[in-house]
Amino acid sequence: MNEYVLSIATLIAIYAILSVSLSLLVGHTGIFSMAHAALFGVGAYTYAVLTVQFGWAPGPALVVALLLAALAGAVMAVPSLRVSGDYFLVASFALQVVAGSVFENWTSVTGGTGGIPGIERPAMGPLDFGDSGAFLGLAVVVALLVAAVSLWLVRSPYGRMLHVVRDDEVVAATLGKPVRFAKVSVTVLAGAFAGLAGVLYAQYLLYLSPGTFEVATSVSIITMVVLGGMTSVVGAVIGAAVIVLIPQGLRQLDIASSAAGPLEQVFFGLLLILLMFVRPQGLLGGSRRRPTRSTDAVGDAAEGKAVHAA
Amino acid sequence: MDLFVQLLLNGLVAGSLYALVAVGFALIFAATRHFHIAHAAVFAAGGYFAYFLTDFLPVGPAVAAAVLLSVVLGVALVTLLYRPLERRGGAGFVLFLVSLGALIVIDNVFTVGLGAQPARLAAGSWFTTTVAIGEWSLIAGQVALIVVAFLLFGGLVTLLAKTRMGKLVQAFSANPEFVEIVGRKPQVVLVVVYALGSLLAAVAGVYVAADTGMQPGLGETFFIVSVMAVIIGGIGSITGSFVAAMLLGLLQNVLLLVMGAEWTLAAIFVLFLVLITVSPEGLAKINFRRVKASA
Repeated sequence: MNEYVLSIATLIAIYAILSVSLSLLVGHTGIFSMAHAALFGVGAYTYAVLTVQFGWAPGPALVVALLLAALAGAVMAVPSLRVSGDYFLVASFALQVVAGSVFENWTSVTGGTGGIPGIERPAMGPLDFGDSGAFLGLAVVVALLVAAVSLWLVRSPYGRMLHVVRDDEVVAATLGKPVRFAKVSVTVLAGAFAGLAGVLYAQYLLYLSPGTFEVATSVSIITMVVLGGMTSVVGAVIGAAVIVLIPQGLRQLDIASSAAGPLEQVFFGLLLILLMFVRPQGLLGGSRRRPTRSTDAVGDAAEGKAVHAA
Repeated sequence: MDLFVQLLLNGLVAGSLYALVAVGFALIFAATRHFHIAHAAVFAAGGYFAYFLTDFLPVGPAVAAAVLLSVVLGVALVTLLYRPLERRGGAGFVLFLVSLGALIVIDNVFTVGLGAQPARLAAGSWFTTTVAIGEWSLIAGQVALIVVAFLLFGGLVTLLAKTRMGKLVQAFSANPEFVEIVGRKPQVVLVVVYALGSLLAAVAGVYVAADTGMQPGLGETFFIVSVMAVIIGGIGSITGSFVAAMLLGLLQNVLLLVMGAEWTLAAIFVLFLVLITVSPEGLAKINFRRVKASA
């Protein structure tokens, strides 16, 4: 395999981690977050700042990066306990913008728009991850682990609890399910996973810039999840592969580079619209339609109704 | 103190922009419950259309045509995308994703032609003429924006309260089935609220194009601040949205006294997050409770 193929495959593995972790929130718990790129960024920036500016070893930096990303997830959980549906959407959007603003403007730490160059890949005993093949192996192993843990979780009693919370929060509370614990724990977990993807991304690109962790990236990750089918772990991985590969395919066409970026976005947008008309449950969403859930995820959620009535 | 008053004036300008977008969204959201994020694209389209049309037309007609085209765009979104989707049983989240897709498509279609360059509308020299207000000043374009924002808001409130169609819109917002009961087509109401809402957003977009130039992603920022205003002002309240949007604009500028310009927007968002966590029903609700408690 040449370097280009290795590089694309690694990127797919990293985005697969992101889309699997977001599907835990969106698909399984009904928390529709526009802030996943922010959690991704917290992991990436923490790792980069600690290793490059403070000269930490990769191990401790990884641990702190995961902890901070999990903490960011917990912060995100706070508005989700109070509001849902459209309201949470706006709250998560606000969080995303705040995080993006910090990445871009806290120049003394994040390097501002200049970003952080000079990140190094770790070596583990005989394994030197500076080699693209070895690094792809690492990324794939991590992605498989995240997918396996997620798959195990959503099929466990914990996963069933998440589903009850998603389908009807009031019923979940009435049944004595710990709604608060469910929401906080799943956002913390999704935050840690996204942070892990961030650390891998920093090691993959060896350079960070704030543009990677903007709203547009959150939208891309959402598209991956929706494309794959919201609740399907395998679907989330396939969604990530498709969304990473489309720009590569477009790059083969002869398009001026200034127009290629916007055209790529136009393509994503059209894909999203088409998907919602033709197959709103996503590629692997199963044939049974669940209109009640898709309505409940945003809009008619209990909170929204309460506010409307008030 | 000098600076403070000037910041308030600038805040009024920012508030007017937010208010135009927010009131338009509030009108649409109250009647349809559509989380119409492509409202941001209608706002951007106003600016882009005006920019492109000035190649063929004088500024005045170009702006009028741009606003008209944006209204057509807004109405097209609801009739060609949202309504067919709803007929297929898609609502809430599915509708939001379609709207998001439309926003991405529209915002980027304009960018393909322009590259990274902002679309700066040449409004003429009058736009930047200084207007002295006491020891402070605004440019004529800003004064025009504030006047237009208040006029459009006043016009909309009158329209809703006094005309038959306005009352129908209000009735529809309160109970969609009512409109069918009295024998009117709900589609008419949808077209009316989307047309009016898009008109307000497009006017704001034209101003932004003339002032700083329209850029990709700009619409989203204005949209999200405006939605915050709608939530703070209380869903369904046009006046609440208008007032909240003005306050956000004022606050954003007054914050310049204590922080750099790059942080004011983030500060407002943090404040919103705290507010929505403390009182999900919006600011209007807090005041109401206080009044009740003291009475």
